Amino acid sequence: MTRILAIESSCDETAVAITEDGKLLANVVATQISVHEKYGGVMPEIASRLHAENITVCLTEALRQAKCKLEDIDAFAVTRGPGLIGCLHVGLQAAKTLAMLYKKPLIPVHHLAGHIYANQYVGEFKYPMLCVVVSGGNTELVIMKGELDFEIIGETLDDAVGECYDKVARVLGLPYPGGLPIDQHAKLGQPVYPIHRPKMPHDTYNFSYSGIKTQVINMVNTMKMKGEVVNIDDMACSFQRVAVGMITDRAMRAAKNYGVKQIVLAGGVSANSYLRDQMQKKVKGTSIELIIPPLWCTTDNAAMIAKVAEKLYVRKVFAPLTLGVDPNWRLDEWDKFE
Amino acid sequence: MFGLLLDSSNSALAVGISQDGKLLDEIQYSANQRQSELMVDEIAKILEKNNISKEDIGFVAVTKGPGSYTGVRIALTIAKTVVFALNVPLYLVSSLEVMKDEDRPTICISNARSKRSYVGVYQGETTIREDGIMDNPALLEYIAEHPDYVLSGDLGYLGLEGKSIDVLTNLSKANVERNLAEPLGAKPVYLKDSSGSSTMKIIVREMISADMSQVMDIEKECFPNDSYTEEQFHYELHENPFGHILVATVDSLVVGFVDFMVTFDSSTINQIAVKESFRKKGVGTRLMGKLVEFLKSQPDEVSFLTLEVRKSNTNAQRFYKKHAFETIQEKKAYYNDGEDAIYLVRSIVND
Repeated sequence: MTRILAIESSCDETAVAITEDGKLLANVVATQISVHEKYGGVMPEIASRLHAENITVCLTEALRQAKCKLEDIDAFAVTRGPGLIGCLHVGLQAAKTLAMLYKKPLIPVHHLAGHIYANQYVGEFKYPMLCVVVSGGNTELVIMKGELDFEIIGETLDDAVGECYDKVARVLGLPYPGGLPIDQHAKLGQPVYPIHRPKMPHDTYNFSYSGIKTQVINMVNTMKMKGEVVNIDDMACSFQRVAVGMITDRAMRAAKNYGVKQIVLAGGVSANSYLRDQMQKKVKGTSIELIIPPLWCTTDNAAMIAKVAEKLYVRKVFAPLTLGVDPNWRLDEWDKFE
Repeated sequence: MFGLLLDSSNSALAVGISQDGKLLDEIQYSANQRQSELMVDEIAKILEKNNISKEDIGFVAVTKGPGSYTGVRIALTIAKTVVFALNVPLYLVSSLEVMKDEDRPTICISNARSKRSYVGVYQGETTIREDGIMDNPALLEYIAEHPDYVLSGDLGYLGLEGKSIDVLTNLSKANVERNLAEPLGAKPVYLKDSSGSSTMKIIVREMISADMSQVMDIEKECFPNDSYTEEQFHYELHENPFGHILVATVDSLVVGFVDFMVTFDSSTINQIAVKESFRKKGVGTRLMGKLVEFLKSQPDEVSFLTLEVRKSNTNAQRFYKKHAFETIQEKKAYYNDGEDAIYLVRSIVND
């Protein structure tokens, strides 16, 4: 029997999870969204302060939920990156301290590997597999040919898709984070506004979102100057068609070219209902299986970190107590941390 | 029973073990922002060396600030995790108080940057002056007024020599009632920026023609190689429909300005400059504050504020980061002399 305690503090959620042979015993998330809402984004110093305040409260609650003691834990896992540096430091100190006191392995986990492996809470992986990693900080297409074997085949050249949603939401006067409100308004609208995809090579797997954002901003401003009323529902719908269309098209092209058996969605934007619907429609009638993460796994949490840590525990991927954080850690370098 | 003593509130990394109020062993060195990597490992080493198991730890004493924000959080997070795991008491002590002399009144000082210092004055168990932030000139005056007080701290930045006092020796006596903390909610003392309360009265207003010669003086002082001409300023001030200039004044003397454009939903800072002798006194912050206020009051919502800064100008970049700017991209060979620019953006939240 293996029990793992995992800590995640890379952005604006302080999270602790405990698993026992893959079964989730505790999953605690202290979110800071209400604090960062008023700034329209995450303020790194404030986020770091809140992590330092919340960390032992989350640990206490996780042990209570799991009905176990620290002595029962076999390894301590922590998100080492990517993320906000000051935030990562807090989770790292807690995990290292526990590993040191209980003389148990310390497991460094890549945050995006966590988002991908969150899907194992709902399905088995079949390789080769395509991971569509879409969030506020990342937009990546990743091919996996086996366990923990990541090849990044496409990424954003400028803004991440989630970031683009937040900015468009702000222009349309919708709240932060922008994903859900745009999704909701888009359902009520029609794609009547001419938003165009950026011109990129037809065979690329890379993304670009800054141009789409600028088009929306310019269009909204021009209309305002002319005294025209912007239909929020229609604008949200027009924007979302293009923003999500770019993801689904590239994903399906990659899926065919790499002959994948499975596609998994990962990251905060995978909560988007239009993306989920479109992906389901696209794989229908093909032999490709689609795994969609449960909604609780689309936001940051430590259960997903524990899921990756289980694999690393078996492989004995352990770090020394001198482990540091890496805010820019690349997914394909998940086993390099010294 | 042993005490585990931790301090990483400044550049040092200090780990100690105490027994009956006496320092038994210590590891102390300058870690230069590597405390995050090294501190837990040093704790492991000192425990092992002294053959102390976790069950032998009776309390943890840690410094709570003021000091480096990240540094303070590192030792405190470790301390909180240890007391959570072992269920032992947590004692929090001011990072300044641990620098006090044994019995003489001590001015405990650490560098708060921007020509300011964290200062606390202690004698034994008595607090003579609560921890706070002081402008360095005011601190030097205070020191001169109290020649009988001991100075403690790494004071090279003030041109003074401070008595070097062993932080860990003081921490080893910290397990007393008044330092006892509620461990779950324990948090650092950051001493929020108090520059707004300085005595210098800064007024920010829109530039008028009469300010031109003073603005040109600052322009030449700040941008000697690529300064705008008076004609260019004249254009910005009177003709460019998108151009605006705000000036900061102290006693009706112009000490800084910001020249910017507003184009629909976004605004761009062309130049922001503060007279050398008035730097690090909050003038830039006031200009930035007024600029943001100005942008929020526009009839058409302004959502973004952008600017380019020379890659080599790290001071300016720190200033912008402090004001919520984020790096978006690097622009290669943006400047005439071939230097790269960093393109920074911040959002304006219109409530």
